[in-house]
Amino acid sequence: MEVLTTEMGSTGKAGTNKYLTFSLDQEEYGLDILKVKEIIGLMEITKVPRMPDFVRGVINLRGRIIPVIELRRKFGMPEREDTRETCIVVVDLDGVNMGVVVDRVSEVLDLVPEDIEETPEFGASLNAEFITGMGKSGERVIMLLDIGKVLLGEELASLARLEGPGESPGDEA
Amino acid sequence: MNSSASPQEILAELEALSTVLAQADEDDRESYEKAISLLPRLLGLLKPPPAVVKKEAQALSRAAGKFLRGRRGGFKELSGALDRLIIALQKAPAVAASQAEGENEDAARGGDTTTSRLDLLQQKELEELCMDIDVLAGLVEDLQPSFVPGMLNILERNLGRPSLPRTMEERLSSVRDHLLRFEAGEEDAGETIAELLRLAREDLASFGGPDNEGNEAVPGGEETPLERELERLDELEAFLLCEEGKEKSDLSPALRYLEELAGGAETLALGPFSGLLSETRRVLSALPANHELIDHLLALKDLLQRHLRSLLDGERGEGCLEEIREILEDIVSHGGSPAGGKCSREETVLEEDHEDFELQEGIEANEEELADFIAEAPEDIQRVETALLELEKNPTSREWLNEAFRGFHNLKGSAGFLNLKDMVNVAHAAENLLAEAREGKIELIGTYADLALESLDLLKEMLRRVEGFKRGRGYRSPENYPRVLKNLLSWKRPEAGHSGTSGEEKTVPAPTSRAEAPGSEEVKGEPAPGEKGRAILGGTSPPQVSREHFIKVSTRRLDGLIDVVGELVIAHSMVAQEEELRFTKNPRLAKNLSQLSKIVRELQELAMSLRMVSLKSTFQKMARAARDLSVRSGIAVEFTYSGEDTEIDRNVVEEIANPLVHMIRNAIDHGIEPPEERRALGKPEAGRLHLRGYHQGGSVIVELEDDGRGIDHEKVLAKARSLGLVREGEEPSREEVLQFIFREGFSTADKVTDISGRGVGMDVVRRTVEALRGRVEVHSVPGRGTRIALRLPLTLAIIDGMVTRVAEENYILPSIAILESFRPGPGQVKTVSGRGEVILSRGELIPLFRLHRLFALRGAVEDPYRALILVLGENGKKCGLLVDDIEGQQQVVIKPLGEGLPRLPGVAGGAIMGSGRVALILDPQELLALAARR
Repeated sequence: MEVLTTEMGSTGKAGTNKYLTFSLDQEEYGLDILKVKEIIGLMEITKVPRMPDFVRGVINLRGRIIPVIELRRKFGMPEREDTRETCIVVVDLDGVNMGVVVDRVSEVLDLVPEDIEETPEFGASLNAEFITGMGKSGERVIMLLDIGKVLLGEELASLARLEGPGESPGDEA
Repeated sequence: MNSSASPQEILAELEALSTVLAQADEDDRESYEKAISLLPRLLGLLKPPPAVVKKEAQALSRAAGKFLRGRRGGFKELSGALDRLIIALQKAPAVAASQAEGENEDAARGGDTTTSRLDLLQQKELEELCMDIDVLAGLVEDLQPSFVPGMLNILERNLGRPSLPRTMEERLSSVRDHLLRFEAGEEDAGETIAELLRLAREDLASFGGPDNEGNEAVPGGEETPLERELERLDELEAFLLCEEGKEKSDLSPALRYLEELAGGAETLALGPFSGLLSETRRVLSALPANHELIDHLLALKDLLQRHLRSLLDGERGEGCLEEIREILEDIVSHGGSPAGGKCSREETVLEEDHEDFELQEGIEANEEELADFIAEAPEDIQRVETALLELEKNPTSREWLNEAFRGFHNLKGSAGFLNLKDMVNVAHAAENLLAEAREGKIELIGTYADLALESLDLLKEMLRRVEGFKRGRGYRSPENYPRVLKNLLSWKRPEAGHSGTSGEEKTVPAPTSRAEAPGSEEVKGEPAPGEKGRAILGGTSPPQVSREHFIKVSTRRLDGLIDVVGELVIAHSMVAQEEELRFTKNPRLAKNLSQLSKIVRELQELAMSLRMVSLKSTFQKMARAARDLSVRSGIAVEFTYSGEDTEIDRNVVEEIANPLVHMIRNAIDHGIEPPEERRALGKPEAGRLHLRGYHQGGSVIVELEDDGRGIDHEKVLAKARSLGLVREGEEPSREEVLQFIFREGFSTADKVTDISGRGVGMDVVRRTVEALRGRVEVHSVPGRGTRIALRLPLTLAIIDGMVTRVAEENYILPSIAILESFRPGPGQVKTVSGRGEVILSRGELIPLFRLHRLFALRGAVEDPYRALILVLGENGKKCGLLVDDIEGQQQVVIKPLGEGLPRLPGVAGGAIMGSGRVALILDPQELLALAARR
């Protein structure tokens, strides 16, 4: 538990953490609210060539250009048409802003450490490394994401590879 | 002072009201009336609000007002405010009492004219902001669409605050966005907003807002007077600097402050100085309010501030006491003529005290102070340098002398602040030299000028090392420090052997005459004092006349402002292009719209101009470079400049200094003939170098013209042939030949000197300028001279771009890189087996690349004869790029693609288009490299 709270960043006064919950398909995820800068509706996204497919492109956030990540693709989930509920959660990772496309934003949830359990072993499942814990709220189970790890860790590594000589992810049209 | 009610009284009253409210709801008439009857009494008790719960009390008053006026939501807000006030009061009754005392003290001091008004304002702003956020938080608890307009008003009001910290601004504007979406029914934003507001509130507390917990944590009140005093010192400085700019300054408030300081000396651990301080005040008030007096006061202020800081850090602050005593005694004993008095005294000190000659190692200072110093010192150095150079031409100018003096003095002051003893010593010794000149004993030309410049160079080197220190390297005084200092101190008998004007001791045989008696004609073609000085000065006027007021603003904020203005412009154009508005039949609306457009345009221009700086400081640096190079090479040069007020992007200015030095080197080394040769040719003995800046068609041109021998066309061609750059039988045009001098490693120099001839210089020039998206142009007439012009973009932030379309995406290419564009005719595109495609254009074969293939885009035009070809030229290489269409040409602001993404090869950045969408800006050079790799 100790590790968990430090990983999740600053804790609320009584040990509670606030999480912004959102869903991808039937799964519910939680983001440390302190890392959430804002939530914006889906807007036109400019594609950026030569980027891995989970980079959906860039948008204009009040004059700043920020990259937008398609979380479904990142997690290897099937594609889905955007709906009215699809929106972009803008996260702030130490001053670096990035957008994350999610199916639907649900609510802000208070979780006390007792409500959070360690991530069970998923075996070789890929998503587990981004999950810092499982939050319980009534019947619901919420996967708490380490969004910094999701966006920056693997991301940068794979993008850096792109700059090497043997790149080219895209197929010839 | 009408005393506040005791916290207990208020608490009792509050609790009574709270119980009423707790049992009631808004529709309950009875409790409503009961609450109304209780409120006035409570509000009476809260006037004035107890300091520690001021914020809560004020919020309560506000909520009460709303409640009494029967506004919706007032009820809830009121009970919220009540609860908060109760909690606050319960939390800290004792603190409340002590704080109230603090207030009393404040009030007692209020009579002083120099109290920090600015600070009060900020404090007030902070409180208002806190209150507003509390109100918003209250409203959000039960968010109704009808609240939104009011909330937006509150937000806008606060977003308009100039001093609003960036983070706060971001939070508030994202609250605003959520609200707008809430209003549009898109989102149930209550919780998110509440969270954002809570964060904002926490931020404010950390900025020292009303519920600053730090204050509460301090048990005693001891810290406060010190901090207040520190703030007042800042005020004092601002005041002094402000007065300095005025013709007639009234320094009496500053002097009054000194007197006060004398009175309160004990509390500030300045006890021993009480008498000295009053004495100082007496002496100073007898002096005319001039720059010297201000210098004194400023120096004193710096020391006092340092002293107080060290006290705050818990030290005894003895470190600066000696210095404070020194400066006070100095003022008292010399009646404010620092030059004469001080120099003689300290000179002896220095000569006796040989410790000062020792190299200093290490610096004790904190990051922030160092950063300030590093940011400010170059300005002073530049100031001194300009003044010294001007003095050399016009040794009797008092204005320039004073200017140089002030510069050294500032350097000394700030170096002293950081305890950089070596810098202080050098600056001080240089001041002495200037003082002699001020008294007319010497003229700052010849050896003396060298001496002064040498000390300045030493200071520069020291500054460089200080920067190094900040980056984690050790600090050590430069090796030539003792020598230069010794020379400076014994200037009456300049050493015959000293050579070189800069720290690096390259043994170029120095012209021997340089060490001769001051005033002797200079061989190296420095204009004789007075004679050419005026011509050279050009438009330069003594510095005081044009002194403007400046404030220091972080570039982050500046860029932020420019970003926001850019957004505004886009948002405005989106609104203005709305059909409903464009064809409105309402004349008032039309008029207001056009007025708005005008303001937006003005604002944009103003914002862009914030990034612009004049070429002046660069040109002044070049004057110095030319002087040194001329001395070193023994070629007489008369360097002049004009158009130094031409403005250009700050980043461009920083970049062009290096290329300009190369150009000047080149001109002096290769262009200008030795004096004998010039005489034989009937040219004036001193070679003329003229540096000029001007605007031309949206670019800034910086050009250097010499009247030397020009570029030997034949020699360049021969060299090019020998390097295999030109094949046998080819006859390149004159233009093309001249371009060869920019090739790396290309030099026609017969010998390599320490200054130039290695064939690096012009290559650097070209590369730097091209990196700035500029161009280099050379014009040369053999025997008459050479002119090299750097054509630079006005700003780096904006490019003139060609907007192209490929599939559904827009891509922008810098117009400057596009040579031509055309739709290929039948048969113009050829496939080369295995080597891609080429186009045949005017007999030339140009490789062709398809942008959509490069970027793997689907849905682009595949048939080249229905698409467009842009011919890009970089480094003399040409290349065709196939795009679907061109949508137009426009100026766009370059923005980075977000820090989350690594830099993409081929993409220079993004631009926000009129539609609010992002379009990518391509980098032709990288694009070509990318294409070539395939």
